[in-house]
Amino acid sequence: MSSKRINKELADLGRDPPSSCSAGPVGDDLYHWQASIMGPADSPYAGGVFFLSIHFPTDYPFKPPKIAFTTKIYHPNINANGNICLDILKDQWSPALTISKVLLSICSLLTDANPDDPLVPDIANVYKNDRAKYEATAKEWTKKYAV
Amino acid sequence: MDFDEVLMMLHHCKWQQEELMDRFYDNREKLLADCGINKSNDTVCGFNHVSSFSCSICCEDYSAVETFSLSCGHEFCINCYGSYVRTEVTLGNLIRCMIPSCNLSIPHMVTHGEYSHNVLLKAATISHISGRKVNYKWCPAPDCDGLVHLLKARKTGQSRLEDVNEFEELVDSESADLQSIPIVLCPRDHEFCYACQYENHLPCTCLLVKRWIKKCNDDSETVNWIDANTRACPSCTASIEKNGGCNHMTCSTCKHQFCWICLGEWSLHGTNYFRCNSFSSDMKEQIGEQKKVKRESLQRYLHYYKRFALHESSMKGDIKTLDKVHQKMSIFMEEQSKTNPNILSWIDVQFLQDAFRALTSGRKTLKWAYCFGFYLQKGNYADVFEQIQEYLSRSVEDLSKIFEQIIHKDNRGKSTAIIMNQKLDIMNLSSLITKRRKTLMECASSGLADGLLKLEML
Repeated sequence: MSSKRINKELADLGRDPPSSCSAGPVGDDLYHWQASIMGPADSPYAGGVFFLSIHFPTDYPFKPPKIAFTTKIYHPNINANGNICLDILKDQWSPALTISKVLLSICSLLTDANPDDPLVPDIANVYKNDRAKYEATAKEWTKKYAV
Repeated sequence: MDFDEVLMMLHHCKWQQEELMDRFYDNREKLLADCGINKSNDTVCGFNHVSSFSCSICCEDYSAVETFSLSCGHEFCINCYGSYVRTEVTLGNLIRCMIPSCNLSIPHMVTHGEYSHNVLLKAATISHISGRKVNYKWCPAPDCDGLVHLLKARKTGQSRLEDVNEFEELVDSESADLQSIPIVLCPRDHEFCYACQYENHLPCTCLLVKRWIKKCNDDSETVNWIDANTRACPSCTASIEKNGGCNHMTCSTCKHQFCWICLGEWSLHGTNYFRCNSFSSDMKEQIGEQKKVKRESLQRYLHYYKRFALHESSMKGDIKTLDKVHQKMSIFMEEQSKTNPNILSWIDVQFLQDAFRALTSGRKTLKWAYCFGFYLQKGNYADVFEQIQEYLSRSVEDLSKIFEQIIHKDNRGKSTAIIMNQKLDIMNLSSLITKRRKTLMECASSGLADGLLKLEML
């Protein structure tokens, strides 16, 4: 049953692609996708392209997809392994959400980090206390890894 | 407010009545909104049979399907709602509409197939209880879903948490105060100990139970047997049981030849067998003595264990018998009430229920009394205890026999007549068992308190 839903999402993405991101299966495996997000213009990630891996559980859409960055990124809610701390990927997941909506949420997370619920406390500290330094480092990492 | 809404509000407030009251009178509208209760909308939530429906969750296009929607009108097919509820129900929160921006909750009393209100309420209760393990305990009896809620602290002036910790301490305490063992009764009539969550194990303390169970499960008794009945080969240490008369042993593993008596090498004995005899007479006696002690202790353990296990299996047999008696009685009573409603009422056969309970609890006490007996130091007072135990055992067997007779196949069709004829006997025996149980407990409890009975922690 989940394959029908995933195919539908894939078709919708093709018909009406979101402006800042793209996603699609890797090879023949419908349950393993790769996605890319353009760094939002009003963020230090501007100009970078970030890749993510998406794994659908077999009971999708009743369980959230597993999404992680494969490109290194300097962000308070994303750790060195690329794991993302985002409520809708965990307890706030709803079967009515789609990959496209989740990717847009990740885009807005890049613009507005959530330093009060950090995955990497060190980066959250810098973000809160020395915004300039945070932006500089994020820009530097983007240039180094995502361009 | 209807029943459903109150349930949802209670669930949202984690079943805390006071918190619910506070929030309700503080800001009623906000609480209702938080709980996902919609009072303004007239659309009723429920199940619909629709034709040509496209479900946005599974993306199936149905020509005809059953759907469900809350009063928000967000409609999904029944399969998707089912899978959703099954996933969500384990999380323990109120289950909301699948549309993230829609906050409405599914009422507990929505009933449909696999996610009936029983499932929803049970899951909600279980998640609540698992968050508060200290105040709730599940009944340990097999197939029983009874739950015991510890309402107030046992000693006044103590907080609940301390009290519960105290129970945990009790499980490992050497204290022989039988009065302090918290035996509780689950809603289905099973007695169990709140501290160690074992069945009613009086007159044993929790620590004794723990040790006894460990002893019975351990291989330590096998080791004891090996110790008492075999000797290790002096060369390769394989265990050897002597099966013949000759003391010239050849180890079947390493072919080492030795003397069974002194465990010395056989070649040293040569042809002069008597050399060993004169040399080791002291040693032999010493070893013999050690073996005797070990063997006695094994015998002692087996004596108590056999009786403990016997009563355990008898109890299972009794329960089967009692089930049959109960069935027969139910059929009989139904027929009675049809033909002649004035002759017998359920109150007249209430004594059977009491007898069932007396029999099973009598067996349980007997069983644990054997465990108690194993750890009991020998003495005159211990003999008194065993005498009382003997009396109890006799009454229990007598009652068990009556029930056996009732369901015996020779007495088919006469069982109800036997029950009524033996009514007096049954009643007498059950009250006797109850009294003797009490006496046994009192004997154990006061004996331990006064130091007349002593436990040996082997």
